[in-house]
Amino acid sequence: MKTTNNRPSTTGTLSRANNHEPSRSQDFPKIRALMLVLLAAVIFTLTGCSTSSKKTELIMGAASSLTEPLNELSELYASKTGVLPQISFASSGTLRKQAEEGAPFDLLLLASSSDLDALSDAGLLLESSRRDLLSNQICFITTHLEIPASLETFPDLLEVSERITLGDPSSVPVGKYAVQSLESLGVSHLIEDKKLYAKDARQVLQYLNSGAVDAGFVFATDVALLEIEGAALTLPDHTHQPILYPAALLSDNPEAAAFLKFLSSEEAISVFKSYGFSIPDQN
Amino acid sequence: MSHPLILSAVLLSLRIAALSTLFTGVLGTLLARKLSQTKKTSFRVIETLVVLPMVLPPSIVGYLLLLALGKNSWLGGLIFAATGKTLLFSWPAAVIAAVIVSLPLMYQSARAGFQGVDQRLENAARTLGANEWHIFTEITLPLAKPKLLTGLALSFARAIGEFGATLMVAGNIPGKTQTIPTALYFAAEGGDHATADALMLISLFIGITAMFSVNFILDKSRTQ
Amino acid sequence: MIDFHLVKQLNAFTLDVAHTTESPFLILMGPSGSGKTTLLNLISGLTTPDKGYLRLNGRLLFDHDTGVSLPPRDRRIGYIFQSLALFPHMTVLQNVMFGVRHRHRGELHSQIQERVMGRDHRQSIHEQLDFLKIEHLSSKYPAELSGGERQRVAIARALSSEADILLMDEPFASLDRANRDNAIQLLLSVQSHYQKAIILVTHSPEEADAFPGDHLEILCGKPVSLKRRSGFLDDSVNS
Repeated sequence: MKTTNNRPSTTGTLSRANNHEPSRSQDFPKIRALMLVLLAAVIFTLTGCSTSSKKTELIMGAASSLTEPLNELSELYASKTGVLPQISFASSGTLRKQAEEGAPFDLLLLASSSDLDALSDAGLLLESSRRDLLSNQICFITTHLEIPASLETFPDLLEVSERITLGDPSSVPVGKYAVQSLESLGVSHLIEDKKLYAKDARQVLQYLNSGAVDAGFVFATDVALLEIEGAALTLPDHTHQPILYPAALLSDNPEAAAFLKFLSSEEAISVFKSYGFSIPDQN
Repeated sequence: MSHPLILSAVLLSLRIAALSTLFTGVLGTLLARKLSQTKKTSFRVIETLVVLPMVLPPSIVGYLLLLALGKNSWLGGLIFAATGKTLLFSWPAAVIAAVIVSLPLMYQSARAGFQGVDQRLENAARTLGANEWHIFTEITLPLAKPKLLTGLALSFARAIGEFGATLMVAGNIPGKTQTIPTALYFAAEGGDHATADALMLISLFIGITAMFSVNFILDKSRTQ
Repeated sequence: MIDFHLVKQLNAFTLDVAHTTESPFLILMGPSGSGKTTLLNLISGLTTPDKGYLRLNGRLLFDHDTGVSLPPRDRRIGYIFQSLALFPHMTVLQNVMFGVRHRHRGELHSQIQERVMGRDHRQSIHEQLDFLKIEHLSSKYPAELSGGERQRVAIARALSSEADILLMDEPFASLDRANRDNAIQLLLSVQSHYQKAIILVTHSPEEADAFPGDHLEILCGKPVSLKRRSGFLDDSVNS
């Protein structure tokens, strides 16, 4: 017999009432209807009624810095082959975590070698497919056009700047590379009391575009997003660690292999270059 | 971004938010009722877990969900064994993420609603022969309706705006799992201001419409 | 009709009251805080006593020693709170029908209709609404009624749930003199018409004087005096 909850007192009590209460389901057709709707919704959700589960799908994870070129390239690829790659854009770290937990990626293109190394260590990659697809460069941006920008005048440009922005080297890749270049060129001391750290590459651009700073360090691929009048000085590759965008297959899906081949083709590379990317030195 | 992609992001967001609000509404209401009736410690623990996602950063919630739904967990493993597919990177995963983050809002609204119902009314109903379930559906629920509706509205808004956890477990696949927030974020990131602005306006429109509807319903029930 | 001994430990004192009577009226008197309302809660089953028993019209509703404790809904007790507790989101008719529906849950709608409107059923709701002069208020909401009208609705609601006994907590407290006298007459007529026992709580000796039956005075949870009045003759018996 059900024990009832008599408020305000809650000591358990036995009920010996004559139970001549008939079933109550007749009273509430509305509630039952709601329950049925819910059950339907749960089943509908869990079976993940997918719109099209063509076997020709491929799922790719790509660093968000590659969004625009990859969107263009995947449309190009689709118009050629009829296969539209499904690309999920996120940070390299997020993609790595997702892959580790079994996200169904066929192909990954990251902005960080260490993240791909971690996946390699976990045995998730088809090692033979791994390659460094793209690379990038660091550009020094300055609004001081009175001095022509070159490697020789670089120290002068640093000195004449009032405030210089770069990514926080402890956590932001574009900042790390910038600091490496400065040290390699022996001019780190020149930015000591002028530096303004940004929390990511986006913020570096914001500082530059808003005029909060008059100089800064960005990726070559971000130069096109600058809205100010300025000069860009590309720093030599050897002054910093190689900035690499590695790619690898994670499954034997032939569509993924085909797409990766396409991305490595001259046609695709020229599209990447048009967005400011470069190709790594062949080792 | 192309128009079809913007449209698919909007439709996907609406579908996910509608479904998750349905689940959250029922679950939050039942939990609020159940947990308010006992003082057992185990129930207090459950309550803390329910509300926890509200104070954690969404990306942490997303990571925990990723662990829970991925192949390595017992739940994810079970689903994989049964269907050969993983829940990750599908829109159902987005629904689950939305439910987890909006449940605290619904729960607290429902709780406040139930607590605001005069206990004497419930006691009167008891003496008149109603059992606990009927008291709940005929007295408590109707009288808590304003707060419940508010809870639903908040849940819907939270679900539509959910970004961090959704990104983690559903990914950001345009046309498949890319919702308004992820589309907006990455459009802004990539400098595509036109798309970002369009999505922002759409979001505002949805939000304002939702709020207006709720207020309209509340006013109507008040003048009864 | 009613026979009980109920004990409950409260914050300030222990409530310990016993009484047996066949009289239709039991008037509980005493200052506020003396435990009168708690006693009503114990009788109705909303609060569980620590010890004792309760028998109503021969039915055993509570017995600590044998573990019997009927939930409020099975006790057939109509408890009219001081606040009346009318359901604000329901009309007068819906309020009154609440007791009917739950007493007869599972019956077909047609059978309930019969009960409400049936001509041969002396206890039909129709008759009760008529007797209490609230039939014309059927589709109004409690907020639209006067204090006196609301009280009559509360009484009708308790009667419709087929209560064997009515508990009334300070029914005259918020009424002015004229309305109070009307209410007193109403209770007397309800009792004689429907033959239900009434337990009434009041802090006013003047109001208590209007009623026959047992007058039990309670102080700090204990009875301090008992007057049994039959009709309007005064036989004082000190307990």
